[in-house]
This record gives sequence, structure tokens and C-alpha cells, in this order.
Amino acid sequence: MKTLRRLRPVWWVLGAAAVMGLSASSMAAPAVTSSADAPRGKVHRLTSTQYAAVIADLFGANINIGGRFEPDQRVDGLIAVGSGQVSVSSAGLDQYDSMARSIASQVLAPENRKAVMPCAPASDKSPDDACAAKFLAKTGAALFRRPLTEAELKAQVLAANAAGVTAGDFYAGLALSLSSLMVAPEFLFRVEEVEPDPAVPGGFRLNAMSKAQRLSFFLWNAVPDRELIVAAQKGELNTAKGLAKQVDRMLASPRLEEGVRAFFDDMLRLDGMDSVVKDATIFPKFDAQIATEAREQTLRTIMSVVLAPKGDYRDIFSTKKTFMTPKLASIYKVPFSNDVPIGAPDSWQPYEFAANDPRAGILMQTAFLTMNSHPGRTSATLRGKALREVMMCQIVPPPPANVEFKIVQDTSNPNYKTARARLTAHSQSPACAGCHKIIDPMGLALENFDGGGAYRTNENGAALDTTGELDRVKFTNGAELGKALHDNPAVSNCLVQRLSAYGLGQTPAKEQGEWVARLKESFAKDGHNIPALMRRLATSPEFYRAVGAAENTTSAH
Amino acid sequence: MKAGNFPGKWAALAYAGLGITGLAFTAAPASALESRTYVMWWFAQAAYSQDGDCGPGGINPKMVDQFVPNLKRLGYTGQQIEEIMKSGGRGDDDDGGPGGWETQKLRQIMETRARVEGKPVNAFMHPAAVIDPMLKTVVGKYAYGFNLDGKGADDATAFEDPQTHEKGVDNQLFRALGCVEAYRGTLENDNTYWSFMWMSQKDVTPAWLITLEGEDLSKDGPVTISMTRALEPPRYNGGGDPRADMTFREDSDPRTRGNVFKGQIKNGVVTIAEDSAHLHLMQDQLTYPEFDLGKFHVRWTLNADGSLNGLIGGYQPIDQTYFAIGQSGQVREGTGLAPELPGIYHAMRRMADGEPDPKTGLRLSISATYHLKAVPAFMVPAKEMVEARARAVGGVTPTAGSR
Repeated sequence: MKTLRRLRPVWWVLGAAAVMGLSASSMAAPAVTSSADAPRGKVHRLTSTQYAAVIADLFGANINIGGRFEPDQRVDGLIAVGSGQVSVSSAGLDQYDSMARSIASQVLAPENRKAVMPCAPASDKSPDDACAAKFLAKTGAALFRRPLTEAELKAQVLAANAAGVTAGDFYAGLALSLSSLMVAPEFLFRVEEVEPDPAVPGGFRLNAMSKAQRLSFFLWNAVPDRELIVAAQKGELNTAKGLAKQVDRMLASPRLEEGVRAFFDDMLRLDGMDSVVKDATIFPKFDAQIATEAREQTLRTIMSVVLAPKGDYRDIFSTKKTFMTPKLASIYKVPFSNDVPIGAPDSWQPYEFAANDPRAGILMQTAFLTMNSHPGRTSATLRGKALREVMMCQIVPPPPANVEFKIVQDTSNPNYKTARARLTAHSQSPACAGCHKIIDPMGLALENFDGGGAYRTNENGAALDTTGELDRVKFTNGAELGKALHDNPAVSNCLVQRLSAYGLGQTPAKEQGEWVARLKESFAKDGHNIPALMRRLATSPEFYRAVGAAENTTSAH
Repeated sequence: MKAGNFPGKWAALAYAGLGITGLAFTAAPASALESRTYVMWWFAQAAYSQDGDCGPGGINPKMVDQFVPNLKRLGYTGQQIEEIMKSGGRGDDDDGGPGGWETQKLRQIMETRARVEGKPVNAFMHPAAVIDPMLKTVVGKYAYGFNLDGKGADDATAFEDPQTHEKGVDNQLFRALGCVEAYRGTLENDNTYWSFMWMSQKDVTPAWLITLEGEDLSKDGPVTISMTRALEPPRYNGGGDPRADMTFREDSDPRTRGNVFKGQIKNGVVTIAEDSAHLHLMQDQLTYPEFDLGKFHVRWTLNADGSLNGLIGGYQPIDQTYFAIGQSGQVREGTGLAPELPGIYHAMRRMADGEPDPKTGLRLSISATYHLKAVPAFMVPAKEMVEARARAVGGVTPTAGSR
């Protein structure tokens, strides 16, 4: 593959031209009708986790992606929605190109190529168009989430041939074509195409391949598998029975866990753990490994609740059961030992907090507590704001531009020893009082947990008052706050709102309001069971209907 | 697919978790006593080096300056010594490091400067067969430790502890080694040898665990002291400080167990309250493969931050003490970590003060004091690990243990 670098500029320019002309918010789906009233097909840039998942899915988990992704953007609480409003910058394209070339060279390296090649070339040192076509048709269909057109395939085979001749290496030529597929807009962007909806005169719906794509990313956070593509090609996804069959198959698959994890990782903003920094002199136990493990702990906890038989989503706020590692256990100050050979790496095991332990639910886990704190201290405001925004889908306005933070930031003031005392003093300002009245009570209920996630009973020697109220439900500590959230309809309604938006790739539109309202009712009737809700979403014609502009979060429920 | 029909791994794990937790509760000892476990994260010989404590002329010369006297004692002539030293001699390393050991000839002479029946043998394995270079020993007034034999309080040459001001303190290991540069230090600035040894071993040496048990450890009163060894080494935070609140599995090796002593707490200080305590623990191959202290004493402070630190002392077997230092021979002499190893052996022998051999009268052990630091930890006792492993579903009890 020695000449790949020499050949690269031509194809890089072609790819760049294609991708940079495209943004998720502006690209029109190529197959859409020419009617002026027709809605446009949606386009979403693959998120960094989706990109990684797709590569691992197609080529194996041993492929190192490397490089840096374009930053994801969260809109209405979800990267899944924001991915429909971002494009690729020139620097970003360069990164995608670097990653694509690196991935292609790894995939077609001697030690890996057997796993992906459907054929053997006549010679390793010269082009073999027939073999190249087989590989590119198969891999291209998986990357584009649809079969390559004849012209697309022909162009890729031609390119592989030319590069193979120049390099004197079949695989070097093939790698060039593979990398060019991975910087193509059809790979980097999930392009959804619409067609007239026979059930709704004048209406539009996703076409079968786009349905398959939406379904697969929703349920598995992955590209459609062969069975789903075949079902789409046969038109089975356009029948209720055929769609339900595929949905049930996918819900029963172990791959569902990846899809549900991806949703909660997005909804709970757990990607934020990547950038959590703590003052090591104050919280010496917190490090990058803890950040990674804390994120994983919360996701494992949620999975064990929502994917358990008859799992009730709301129990994530009250469960005593979780999963533990030795290092995390030291933050919780609980005994925990792996029964592993001496010197073996730490591993995960199920764990249940004791009945008299103050912790229950994900809000009292390290991830939520540390992510919603400052580097050197807690923040009842950040925690309360996160609960309002993330768990209840409410919008908390930003603080006034001229707000004075001095009192809340000074933890050494002997007159204000606790966060409650500082916030009370701070909220004397009428400009601040309104928001803090809504935000702080829930955050203050978690003051028993410091900014590093450890339990405490006092701050600066002063006892902590963790009482509060949420929608006229009183609580005295974090566990009771969890119970209040568990029982609050806004929390379960928010979940429906977020999961719908996640699947649709946009916040439900105004005309979808009734449908979402019905989903909320069904969610309660189904025992707040997530897979049941996913099934209702995925088997609903509304889920695939092309609609106009989305409502924003607050007005949609 | 029907809602709730997800008989996958999460269902199985949920059941496994329930089984394990249930076991944990039954495994936890029902006791009204307060129990605290600590993991030792720092260990070093307790030194109290002060200016002038080695008398006129200061401390012992560095290894590089011991070559010529050693050669003279071996009977080399002045001319021979000059030739040997000219071919190697003092190198770039002032400690007598690699530069001073450049010639194979000098190295071989130093390695085999012991004589058995007139033949050269390894000096580090046969230190008694090397002529005693009479290293200087500490003549200062102070040393950390304990009056192990109850004698010497009126002896003007006996040590006094700088913290407690107890007189007649027995710490002859400090006296023997305290004028060798690598062994000089204080509790605040541990000496080079022990700092190097601990830093190089701390991540792999199975941790020592200390458990205190009493009615109320915040008050004065009797306490049971247990010391044992874990399967795992201590853990450290990213900044290098010890990681508190980790859980350790007790080693079931019988050689590490049985160290249970009567003690007491007074004003937040833990001491041994029995006269014939004997500590025996396994440590590691490079510091002490086995560690013994007869007439075992402790003086540990229970700190407000939950940590424990202080001293342990007693009589340590001479051979155990020397060979822990001497086993790497040339490496430690060459790097300055233990210059003049046979001299160190002889100094220990001269200063030995414990366990007289009934036949020869030779003292077989030497009083010693060590400094340790520990942070709170959890321990899963070996017995509970075995029981839990036999009964747990899919793993071992995650919550059993003491604190």
C-alpha cells in the first residue's frame, strides 16, 4: 500500500467536494419527489459513537479508529437530534479522511483481510475487478445502508483498479476505494428518503430502505443487518405484519442492549464524563479511570433495570442494585472484592447497596454526582438544573449576565458554611430567586454527596439540611428525592418525549403531538417498560411518517 | 414481542446479584465491637539522623572510598592497588556507581573479598568471612523505638526516643546502620535505601493489613490488634497518594496469619499491652521475604483523617535482616544503596542485642524500629472468601468484610 499516499489527493478532493457540499440540515434527499410541498428527507451525521459502532460491527472490534471526530452537538437534549443540524468542516473532513485511510489499511492488512474478503484475487500484485466488485458491493451496501448503484460500484472498481496498477498491489487499490466510501456523504450522513404514503393522501413516509435504517439505528444503534435489508427490499417493512416481525426480532436480539445504552448515554449526557475534571487535592480518588467506570456503572444499572423482565424505567431512581468495580467501591466506601486471580485486572460484578446505605438510584452514583458538580465543590444548582432539564425535559433559563457568584463560590465563608446557606444568601437577589427556587431544592437533597461522589454528613462542620419539595411532594434526602422523581409523571413523560425524539432524529412535530400523548399513556399502562415503548414507537406508522418542522421541547408536551 | 419478555443476561445477572448480596449479609460478622481495618502503604526503617550523631569525622566513607582500604585488608601491595585503581578507580559516579566499577578486575575482587579456607568466595553471601572494616555506628542520643528489655534507662549511652522521651530505647539496627549515608533520614524524610526499596516494590508487594477491634475506638480502652497480609498490593491514586477505602482479600497462607495481639488505646495512640508478642509476616523478596519481630511493640497514632501511622519495633533476626539487604550484593553496593555490605553485617553483629544463643552467647537478633503509614481499608477474611466462593452464584461476596 506504499502508493496510497501518492494517490490520495485526487480522491480526497472528490470526497471533500461531495461531503462539504452537504450538511445534515441542508441536504435534500436525492429520491424525494419534485413536488414543492413535499417534505425533505432527513439527513443526520453519524455521531461519534455510531461511527465507532458501525466500524466495529462491520470490520471487528480490533480495528483502531484513532483520529478526532467533529464535535457532536446536542439539540433539545439529544445528540441524536443535533446530528440533524450539523455539517462537516474542512478540518473535520481531513480527520474523517485520516480515519478512513487508517481503518481501510487495517481492514485489508494481511492479518485481517481474510475475515472481510468474500473472494481471493487472482494475484495480490495486480487488480482483479471481479473480486474487487464483490468486496465493494458487499461492504459498500453495509456502509451506505443501501446497495450501491451500478454507477457507484463501477466508479469504485475503476478506482481500485487504477490504484492497484499504480501500487502494484491489489489490496492497496481496494483500500483506496474502501477509504473513499468512508468519506462519502452516504456513509458519514444517514440519508433518509421519502415517498408518497398511500395511507395518507398527500402525505409522505420513509421509503423501505430508510425505514430499515431508522429502525436499526433506533433499536441497535447500528446499520441494518442483512435480514432487515432483505425485508426492506421485499417491501415487508411497508406492511404492519412484516414490520412487527422485524421489530420483534430486533427487540429479542442481544443487540438491543447496544441500542438502549446509546439512547441513555445520549439522554443522560454521559458523554460529559469524558471532560469531567476534579481538583486532585480535594478529590484525589477521581481520575480518568473512575470517570470511565462511573459512566459504565450508570449505564449498567439502567440496563439491568429497564431490560429486566417487566422492568420499570422509573426504578432507575430508586434501585439499590448496581454494578461495582474495586476502585468505584472505594469512592462509595463500601467493601467490594473481585474474586479474580492475583494481578488480574479489575472487573465488574453485581452489587447491592445495603438497606441502610443512603444511596439509591442513579442520581447518587458517581457519574451524576461528579458530572454535575464543580471541580472542587458540589453544585446544588447544576444538579438541580440537570434534573429539571434531563429527567423532566424542562428548560432552565441561563443566569442573568450581571449575576454575582461570589457568595456561592466562597466555600470558606464562616457565615455560609453549607451550600444551602450560600444559595439562600445568593437568592436574595430577585433576579436570581425565581430560578433557584425551582432548581435548588432537588440539588440540595443531594448535598450529602460531595463533588467527588463521596458521602458526607456535614460541610465545613455544619450539618446538612437536605429537605425539599418537588411538586408538593416533600423529601428529606436523596433517596426520598429519587422516590419523588420515580412517582412524578413529568419524569416518565419526559422519557417518552426523549425516546421519540431519539428515534425520529428530531423533536416530535406539532402534528405528532397526539401520537406522543398516546405513547405517554401507553407507557404508563405498559408499566413504564422501555422495550414495550420502543415496540410501540417502531411499529407505529407515525414513526416513519415525513412531517414538517419540529416543535421545541417545552411546547411538545 | 410482548412487553417484559426479555429473558436475557440482565435477568440472570439480577438473580446472581441477589444471591451474592444475600450471602454477604449472612457472612458479615455479628459483633458489637467497632472494627477498623487499615492497609499499610509505606514502610521504612525508622531513622532519626542528626548532625554529629556519628561522632568526629562524620559518617562512613562512600563505597568508592572503601576500595583501597578493602584491597589493603586483602593484602594487596601499594603498587598492586595503584594498578588496580588506575584501571578502574573513581568514576563519574560519586557514590561509587558504575563509573567506579568499570574494571572487571576490581569488581571481581570486591565480589569475592571473603575468604574461606584461604580461598576467595562471595563476600555478600559470606559476610562473616570478610575482615570487619569496623564501620562507624551512631553515638547520638536519640533513636525512635521502645525499651524492649526494660533496662538501660539510667545508661547514658542508651537511646532516648525523641517523641516519647522514653529512655533505654532499644534500636540497635539504627545504631548499626545510621552512619551509612543511604540509611540516614528521619520519619519526615525517609532514608534513601528504604525509599528506593518501597517505591520499587509498593505496586507489587502484597499489602499488610492492620485491624483494630474494640468497644469504641475513639475512646481509651483495650483493643485487639491483628496484622495479616493481603493478596493484593496497596492501591494508589493518580497523584501517587495512597487510595483509601479499597477492599483487600486476606492471604490464607498460614505464615501470614495468627498475628493477634492485646493492645490498648490511650489518647488516640495504640500500643501493645502484652510482653511476649511476636510478629511474623511474609513481605516480599526484595525487602523482607519473611519479617519477624520478637517482643513486638507498636506505637500508632489514629489520625483525625482516618489514617494510621507510627512505629513497630522488636528484635529482628540478624540473618533475616542482613540477607534482605545483602541478597542483591554487588547491585546494592555499586549503586550506593548498601555500600560496604560485609561491613554492615559486622556492624549488625557488633550491635546485636537480642536473643542470646544459649551455647555460644552470640546474639542472634537485633532491636529494630520501623515506620509505617496506613489508610482505611476493607478486608475480606480468608475464611469468608473460601466460604463465599463455595456458596456464591456467579461470583464471590462483594460486601463481606470488616472495616
